[in-house]
Amino acid sequence: MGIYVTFWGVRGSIPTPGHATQRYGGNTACIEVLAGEELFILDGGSGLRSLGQDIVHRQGHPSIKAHLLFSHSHWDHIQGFPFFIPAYSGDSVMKIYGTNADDRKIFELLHGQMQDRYFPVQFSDLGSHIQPDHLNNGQKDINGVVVDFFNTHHPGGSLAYSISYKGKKVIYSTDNELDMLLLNRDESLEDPSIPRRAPQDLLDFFKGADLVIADGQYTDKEYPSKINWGHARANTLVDVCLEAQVKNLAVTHHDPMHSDDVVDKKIQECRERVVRFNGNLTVFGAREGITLKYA
Amino acid sequence: MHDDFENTVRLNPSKTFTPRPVERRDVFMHIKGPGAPQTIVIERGEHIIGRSTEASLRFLSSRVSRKHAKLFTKETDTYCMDLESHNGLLLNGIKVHSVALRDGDTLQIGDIVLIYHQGVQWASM
Repeated sequence: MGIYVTFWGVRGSIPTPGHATQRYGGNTACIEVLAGEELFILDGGSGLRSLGQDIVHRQGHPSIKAHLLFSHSHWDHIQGFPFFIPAYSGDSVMKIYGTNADDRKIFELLHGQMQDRYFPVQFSDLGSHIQPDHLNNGQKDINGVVVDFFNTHHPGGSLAYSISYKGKKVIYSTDNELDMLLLNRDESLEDPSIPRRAPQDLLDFFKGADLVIADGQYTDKEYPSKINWGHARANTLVDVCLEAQVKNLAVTHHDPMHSDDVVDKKIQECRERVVRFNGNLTVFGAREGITLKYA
Repeated sequence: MHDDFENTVRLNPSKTFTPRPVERRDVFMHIKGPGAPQTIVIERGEHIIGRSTEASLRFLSSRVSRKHAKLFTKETDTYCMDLESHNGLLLNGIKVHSVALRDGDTLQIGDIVLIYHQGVQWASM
């Protein structure tokens, strides 16, 4: 058994159904990570609804035991939760993690978005056992799976997560304007062709990962008009992953204005950058319906 | 009296053209590797891809495992899943465990290259 990663939602900001986004998918953020026997759900965007349906299909019943890790509470990361079928099952046990014992922000926000003004079913009426838990302000070992987090750059804050199991490591770092953290931010904005240098703590967090799933919403050309919007240039991810000796990079949080063809073009630019820097990194666009395995 | 319909072509019902029934099917264009080129129509249900005699999509290549991958339909999607094969399953050049196929996807199974096309018009026999 290794780590299995399935993409259920890879779109940023708002669901974008339609022909132009059919290949990569239009659902907002949701990633399923199965590490050994432990099921982790990273973010609860509209893709969470599809994951719930799939769980019923594959198990024949909706009950799960799962760990829910949310990057932050913006709509595109929580809007799928009220439609997550396993949340209605009396036999489901779901832990919702904060960073420390006092951090119940996400747990309370999930309550909030199900108030009767917004949704017909109240959080307290969900049949499942939903419990707040926390990451001890740092690493937490969950039955042999080590979970860690990193504070990223996004309006209102956002968390990146690392999940390690039996020597394999997967990073999820969405809604992170990496460009704002760069040591040579201004120079790399002026001349996008130069290598972008990340701070050491971020490199340590990414170090040697088998897979980094990260927000690379913008092309170099688009980014200057989107500074401080909280999302990174895809090419910045490439440079950081090369420096951190990451093996695979899944660029996610695709812009809602980007068609499949535009995403293809953005990924192609990333691959050309890897070649130009003589790097060893596989880059692809995160796409709904794909499962990857690291064992 | 003026005939509004004087230029109208009137069809003789006995000579009406009856088209052959056409349905939409998913297909693989097998473009590379032993047996290529060929078009493979994907029937609904579950299929084993491999070089075993038990495989319903059989490719006679040493780079294809006996039971290399499984093809199956779930709701409206066709999925392909690796069966712990020796050479793995590549989707558009990326190694994957499983994938919900989309029109135009390229699958590589050993040295076999297949292009998936969704909803191709297919005349019934």
